[in-house]
Amino acid sequence: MQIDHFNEFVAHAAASGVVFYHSGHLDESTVASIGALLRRRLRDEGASGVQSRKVFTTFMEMAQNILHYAALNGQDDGPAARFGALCVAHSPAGFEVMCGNYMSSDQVPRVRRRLEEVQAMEPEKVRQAYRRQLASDGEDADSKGAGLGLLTMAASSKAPIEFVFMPAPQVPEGNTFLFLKALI
Amino acid sequence: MEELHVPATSLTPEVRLSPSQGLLTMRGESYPEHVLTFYAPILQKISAVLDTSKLARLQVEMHITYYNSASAKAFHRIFHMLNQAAEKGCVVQLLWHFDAEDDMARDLGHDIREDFPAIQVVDVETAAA
Repeated sequence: MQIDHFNEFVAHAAASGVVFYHSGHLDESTVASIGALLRRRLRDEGASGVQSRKVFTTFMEMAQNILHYAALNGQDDGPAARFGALCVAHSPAGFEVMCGNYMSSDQVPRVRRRLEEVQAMEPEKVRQAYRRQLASDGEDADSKGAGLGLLTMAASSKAPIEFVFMPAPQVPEGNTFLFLKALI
Repeated sequence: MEELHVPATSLTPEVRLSPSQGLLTMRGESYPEHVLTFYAPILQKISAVLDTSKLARLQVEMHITYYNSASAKAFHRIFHMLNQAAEKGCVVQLLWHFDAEDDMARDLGHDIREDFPAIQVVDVETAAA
Protein backbone atom coordinates (compact mmCIF):
# COMPACT_ATOMS: atom_id res chain seq x y z
CA MET A 1 0.00 0.00 0.00
CA GLN A 2 1.30 3.41 -0.92
CA ILE A 3 1.49 5.91 1.90
CA ASP A 4 -0.91 8.22 0.00
CA HIS A 5 -3.48 5.41 -0.16
CA PHE A 6 -3.10 4.83 3.54
CA ASN A 7 -3.60 8.52 4.11
CA GLU A 8 -6.82 8.44 2.05
CA PHE A 9 -7.97 5.32 3.89
CA VAL A 10 -7.50 7.05 7.26
CA ALA A 11 -9.17 10.27 6.05
CA HIS A 12 -12.12 8.32 4.62
CA ALA A 13 -12.57 6.43 7.90
CA ALA A 14 -12.55 9.69 9.87
CA ALA A 15 -15.07 11.28 7.47
CA SER A 16 -17.36 8.22 7.87
CA GLY A 17 -17.39 8.72 11.63
CA VAL A 18 -15.34 5.63 12.40
CA VAL A 19 -14.70 5.48 16.13
CA PHE A 20 -12.92 2.17 15.95
CA TYR A 21 -11.90 -0.27 13.25
CA HIS A 22 -10.02 -3.53 13.26
CA SER A 23 -9.57 -6.10 10.55
CA GLY A 24 -7.31 -9.03 11.19
CA HIS A 25 -6.64 -11.75 13.70
CA LEU A 26 -8.32 -11.67 17.07
CA ASP A 27 -7.88 -13.43 20.36
CA GLU A 28 -9.53 -13.05 23.75
CA SER A 29 -6.99 -10.64 25.22
CA THR A 30 -7.10 -8.41 22.12
CA VAL A 31 -10.88 -8.32 22.34
CA ALA A 32 -10.68 -7.39 26.04
CA SER A 33 -8.25 -4.51 25.40
CA ILE A 34 -10.24 -3.26 22.42
CA GLY A 35 -13.39 -3.38 24.58
CA ALA A 36 -11.76 -1.24 27.28
CA LEU A 37 -10.50 1.23 24.66
CA LEU A 38 -13.93 1.37 23.04
CA ARG A 39 -15.61 2.26 26.32
CA ARG A 40 -13.24 5.22 26.82
CA ARG A 41 -13.84 6.36 23.24
CA LEU A 42 -17.61 6.13 23.68
CA ARG A 43 -17.37 8.36 26.73
CA ASP A 44 -15.32 10.86 24.71
CA GLU A 45 -17.90 10.70 21.89
CA GLY A 46 -20.60 11.67 24.36
CA ALA A 47 -22.52 8.39 24.36
CA SER A 48 -25.10 8.11 27.14
CA GLY A 49 -24.69 5.40 29.76
CA VAL A 50 -27.35 3.19 28.22
CA GLN A 51 -26.07 3.76 24.68
CA SER A 52 -22.52 3.00 25.70
CA ARG A 53 -23.67 -0.20 27.41
CA LYS A 54 -25.57 -1.37 24.34
CA VAL A 55 -22.73 -0.55 21.95
CA PHE A 56 -20.30 -2.40 24.18
CA THR A 57 -22.65 -5.37 24.64
CA THR A 58 -23.23 -5.65 20.87
CA PHE A 59 -19.56 -5.21 20.11
CA MET A 60 -18.59 -7.99 22.54
CA GLU A 61 -21.20 -10.41 21.15
CA MET A 62 -19.89 -9.75 17.65
CA ALA A 63 -16.25 -10.12 18.68
CA GLN A 64 -16.95 -13.36 20.52
CA ASN A 65 -18.93 -14.63 17.54
CA ILE A 66 -15.84 -14.13 15.40
CA LEU A 67 -13.77 -16.14 17.86
CA HIS A 68 -16.36 -18.94 18.05
CA TYR A 69 -17.27 -19.24 14.38
CA ALA A 70 -13.69 -19.20 13.21
CA ALA A 71 -13.13 -22.10 15.59
CA LEU A 72 -16.16 -23.94 14.21
CA ASN A 73 -15.10 -23.66 10.64
CA GLY A 74 -11.86 -25.49 11.13
CA GLN A 75 -9.82 -22.30 10.91
CA ASP A 76 -8.81 -22.60 14.49
CA ASP A 77 -5.15 -23.42 14.25
CA GLY A 78 -4.72 -21.42 17.43
CA PRO A 79 -5.86 -17.94 18.30
CA ALA A 80 -3.83 -16.34 15.48
CA ALA A 81 -6.03 -18.07 12.90
CA ARG A 82 -9.19 -16.29 14.01
CA PHE A 83 -9.77 -13.57 11.48
CA GLY A 84 -12.52 -10.98 11.59
CA ALA A 85 -13.43 -7.36 11.06
CA LEU A 86 -15.00 -5.07 13.65
CA CYS A 87 -16.10 -1.49 13.29
CA VAL A 88 -17.93 1.13 15.36
CA ALA A 89 -18.95 4.33 13.59
CA HIS A 90 -20.78 7.39 14.90
CA SER A 91 -23.44 8.62 12.48
CA PRO A 92 -26.36 11.06 12.94
CA ALA A 93 -28.62 7.99 13.38
CA GLY A 94 -26.55 6.66 16.29
CA PHE A 95 -23.67 4.28 16.76
CA GLU A 96 -23.28 1.69 14.01
CA VAL A 97 -21.66 -1.51 15.21
CA MET A 98 -20.51 -3.88 12.48
CA CYS A 99 -18.63 -7.11 12.21
CA GLY A 100 -17.50 -9.51 9.52
CA ASN A 101 -16.27 -13.06 9.72
CA TYR A 102 -15.65 -16.07 7.54
CA MET A 103 -18.07 -18.95 7.55
CA SER A 104 -18.37 -22.14 5.58
CA SER A 105 -20.59 -21.56 2.51
CA ASP A 106 -22.70 -24.65 3.21
CA GLN A 107 -23.90 -22.94 6.41
CA VAL A 108 -25.19 -19.89 4.53
CA PRO A 109 -28.81 -21.05 3.94
CA ARG A 110 -29.25 -21.95 7.63
CA VAL A 111 -27.70 -18.70 8.87
CA ARG A 112 -29.62 -16.61 6.34
CA ARG A 113 -32.92 -18.17 7.49
CA ARG A 114 -32.09 -17.44 11.10
CA LEU A 115 -31.06 -13.85 10.35
CA GLU A 116 -34.24 -13.23 8.34
CA GLU A 117 -36.33 -14.70 11.16
CA VAL A 118 -34.76 -12.38 13.73
CA GLN A 119 -34.93 -9.41 11.33
CA ALA A 120 -38.70 -9.84 11.07
CA MET A 121 -39.25 -9.91 14.86
CA GLU A 122 -40.81 -6.99 16.71
CA PRO A 123 -38.83 -5.97 19.83
CA GLU A 124 -41.22 -7.88 22.11
CA LYS A 125 -40.78 -11.03 19.99
CA VAL A 126 -37.01 -10.65 20.25
CA ARG A 127 -37.35 -10.50 24.00
CA GLN A 128 -39.54 -13.62 24.10
CA ALA A 129 -37.17 -15.52 21.81
CA TYR A 130 -34.24 -14.45 24.00
CA ARG A 131 -36.03 -15.73 27.05
CA ARG A 132 -36.88 -19.08 25.42
CA GLN A 133 -33.32 -19.50 24.22
CA LEU A 134 -31.99 -18.71 27.69
CA ALA A 135 -34.13 -21.42 29.22
CA SER A 136 -33.46 -24.03 26.55
CA ASP A 137 -31.10 -26.86 27.37
CA GLY A 138 -30.07 -27.35 23.78
CA GLU A 139 -26.70 -25.81 24.36
CA ASP A 140 -24.33 -28.08 22.48
CA ALA A 141 -20.66 -27.39 21.91
CA ASP A 142 -21.38 -26.28 18.35
CA SER A 143 -23.89 -23.54 18.98
CA LYS A 144 -22.17 -22.01 22.02
CA GLY A 145 -25.29 -20.00 22.63
CA ALA A 146 -25.00 -18.50 19.16
CA GLY A 147 -28.71 -17.84 18.85
CA LEU A 148 -28.59 -15.98 22.14
CA GLY A 149 -25.78 -13.75 20.85
CA LEU A 150 -27.76 -12.73 17.78
CA LEU A 151 -30.85 -12.07 19.89
CA THR A 152 -28.78 -9.93 22.27
CA MET A 153 -27.60 -7.83 19.30
CA ALA A 154 -31.17 -7.57 18.00
CA ALA A 155 -32.44 -6.51 21.44
CA SER A 156 -29.79 -3.78 21.64
CA SER A 157 -30.30 -2.46 18.11
CA LYS A 158 -32.98 0.14 17.34
CA ALA A 159 -33.21 -1.11 13.74
CA PRO A 160 -33.35 -4.70 12.49
CA ILE A 161 -29.90 -6.29 12.19
CA GLU A 162 -28.62 -5.81 8.63
CA PHE A 163 -26.56 -8.51 6.98
CA VAL A 164 -24.63 -9.11 3.76
CA PHE A 165 -23.08 -12.36 2.55
CA MET A 166 -19.98 -12.00 0.42
CA PRO A 167 -19.18 -15.27 -1.38
CA ALA A 168 -16.27 -16.34 -3.61
CA PRO A 169 -14.51 -15.04 -5.69
CA GLN A 170 -13.94 -12.20 -3.21
CA VAL A 171 -13.13 -14.85 -0.60
CA PRO A 172 -11.55 -18.32 -0.93
CA GLU A 173 -13.78 -20.98 -2.54
CA GLY A 174 -16.08 -22.75 -0.09
CA ASN A 175 -16.12 -19.75 2.25
CA THR A 176 -18.42 -16.80 2.64
CA PHE A 177 -17.75 -13.61 4.51
CA LEU A 178 -20.72 -12.53 6.61
CA PHE A 179 -21.21 -8.89 7.63
CA LEU A 180 -23.65 -7.83 10.35
CA LYS A 181 -24.70 -4.34 11.34
CA ALA A 182 -26.56 -3.07 14.40
CA LEU A 183 -27.65 0.50 15.12
CA ILE A 184 -27.56 1.76 18.69
CA MET B 1 -18.15 -26.56 54.27
CA GLU B 2 -15.35 -24.28 53.16
CA GLU B 3 -15.86 -20.89 51.58
CA LEU B 4 -15.30 -20.10 47.95
CA HIS B 5 -13.71 -16.87 46.87
CA VAL B 6 -12.83 -16.13 43.25
CA PRO B 7 -11.34 -12.63 42.81
CA ALA B 8 -12.58 -10.45 39.95
CA THR B 9 -10.67 -10.04 36.71
CA SER B 10 -11.40 -7.59 33.90
CA LEU B 11 -13.50 -10.31 32.23
CA THR B 12 -14.97 -12.22 35.16
CA PRO B 13 -16.80 -11.20 38.33
CA GLU B 14 -15.80 -11.66 41.94
CA VAL B 15 -17.63 -14.68 43.31
CA ARG B 16 -17.98 -15.33 47.02
CA LEU B 17 -19.88 -18.22 48.53
CA SER B 18 -20.05 -18.50 52.29
CA PRO B 19 -22.14 -21.43 53.51
CA SER B 20 -21.64 -20.42 57.17
CA GLN B 21 -23.09 -16.95 56.55
CA GLY B 22 -25.59 -18.17 53.94
CA LEU B 23 -24.27 -15.72 51.35
CA LEU B 24 -23.55 -15.91 47.65
CA THR B 25 -22.20 -12.76 46.02
CA MET B 26 -21.32 -12.13 42.40
CA ARG B 27 -19.98 -8.70 41.59
CA GLY B 28 -18.36 -7.20 38.53
CA GLU B 29 -18.46 -7.89 34.81
CA SER B 30 -18.80 -11.20 33.04
CA TYR B 31 -17.36 -11.53 29.53
CA PRO B 32 -15.16 -14.59 29.46
CA GLU B 33 -14.80 -16.19 26.04
CA HIS B 34 -14.95 -19.64 27.58
CA VAL B 35 -17.85 -19.17 29.92
CA LEU B 36 -18.05 -22.80 31.02
CA THR B 37 -14.39 -22.93 31.97
CA PHE B 38 -15.07 -20.12 34.40
CA TYR B 39 -18.55 -21.08 35.61
CA ALA B 40 -18.45 -24.91 35.73
CA PRO B 41 -16.44 -25.08 39.00
CA ILE B 42 -18.65 -22.36 40.52
CA LEU B 43 -21.84 -24.18 39.52
CA GLN B 44 -20.41 -27.36 40.97
CA LYS B 45 -19.54 -25.69 44.26
CA ILE B 46 -22.96 -24.05 44.60
CA SER B 47 -24.62 -27.36 43.83
CA ALA B 48 -22.48 -29.16 46.43
CA VAL B 49 -23.25 -26.55 49.09
CA LEU B 50 -26.99 -26.68 48.37
CA ASP B 51 -26.97 -30.49 48.49
CA THR B 52 -24.96 -30.98 51.64
CA SER B 53 -25.26 -27.89 53.83
CA LYS B 54 -29.04 -27.93 54.30
CA LEU B 55 -29.06 -24.16 54.52
CA ALA B 56 -32.11 -22.55 56.12
CA ARG B 57 -31.44 -19.29 54.27
CA LEU B 58 -29.32 -18.14 51.38
CA GLN B 59 -28.94 -14.50 50.44
CA VAL B 60 -27.77 -14.05 46.89
CA GLU B 61 -26.38 -10.75 45.75
CA MET B 62 -26.00 -10.29 42.00
CA HIS B 63 -24.26 -7.09 41.07
CA ILE B 64 -23.18 -7.68 37.49
CA THR B 65 -22.77 -4.48 35.50
CA TYR B 66 -22.02 -6.07 32.11
CA TYR B 67 -22.48 -9.64 30.96
CA ASN B 68 -22.35 -11.46 27.64
CA SER B 69 -25.08 -13.78 26.45
CA ALA B 70 -23.18 -16.93 27.38
CA SER B 71 -22.84 -15.62 30.97
CA ALA B 72 -26.60 -15.00 31.04
CA LYS B 73 -26.97 -18.71 30.32
CA ALA B 74 -24.70 -19.57 33.26
CA PHE B 75 -26.73 -17.27 35.55
CA HIS B 76 -29.87 -19.03 34.40
CA ARG B 77 -28.39 -22.35 35.51
CA ILE B 78 -27.49 -20.90 38.90
CA PHE B 79 -31.04 -19.57 39.35
CA HIS B 80 -32.39 -22.98 38.40
CA MET B 81 -30.37 -24.61 41.20
CA LEU B 82 -31.40 -21.91 43.67
CA ASN B 83 -35.04 -22.35 42.74
CA GLN B 84 -34.82 -26.09 43.38
CA ALA B 85 -33.21 -25.46 46.77
CA ALA B 86 -35.95 -22.95 47.56
CA GLU B 87 -38.62 -25.50 46.64
CA LYS B 88 -37.03 -27.86 49.17
CA GLY B 89 -37.38 -25.30 51.94
CA CYS B 90 -34.29 -23.08 51.82
CA VAL B 91 -35.33 -19.42 51.91
CA VAL B 92 -33.56 -17.90 48.93
CA GLN B 93 -33.54 -14.15 48.54
CA LEU B 94 -31.96 -12.68 45.42
CA LEU B 95 -30.88 -9.05 45.43
CA TRP B 96 -30.82 -8.16 41.74
CA HIS B 97 -28.76 -5.00 41.25
CA PHE B 98 -29.12 -3.13 38.01
CA ASP B 99 -28.51 0.29 36.53
CA ALA B 100 -31.75 2.28 36.46
CA GLU B 101 -31.30 2.94 32.73
CA ASP B 102 -30.54 -0.66 31.82
CA ASP B 103 -33.84 -2.01 30.49
CA MET B 104 -32.41 -5.39 29.53
CA ALA B 105 -31.17 -6.02 33.08
CA ARG B 106 -34.48 -4.80 34.50
CA ASP B 107 -36.34 -7.22 32.19
CA LEU B 108 -34.05 -10.04 33.16
CA GLY B 109 -34.93 -9.46 36.82
CA HIS B 110 -38.59 -9.61 35.86
CA ASP B 111 -38.04 -12.87 33.95
CA ILE B 112 -36.18 -14.44 36.87
CA ARG B 113 -39.15 -13.66 39.10
CA GLU B 114 -41.52 -15.38 36.66
CA ASP B 115 -39.34 -18.34 35.74
CA PHE B 116 -38.15 -19.11 39.27
CA PRO B 117 -41.12 -18.40 41.53
CA ALA B 118 -39.60 -19.99 44.63
CA ILE B 119 -36.85 -17.36 44.73
CA GLN B 120 -37.66 -14.03 46.39
CA VAL B 121 -36.32 -11.49 43.93
CA VAL B 122 -35.65 -7.98 45.21
CA ASP B 123 -34.85 -5.30 42.63
CA VAL B 124 -32.06 -2.96 43.68
CA GLU B 125 -31.87 -0.03 41.26
CA THR B 126 -28.59 1.78 41.19
CA ALA B 127 -28.19 5.29 39.85
CA ALA B 128 -27.38 5.48 36.15
CA ALA B 129 -23.67 5.22 35.44
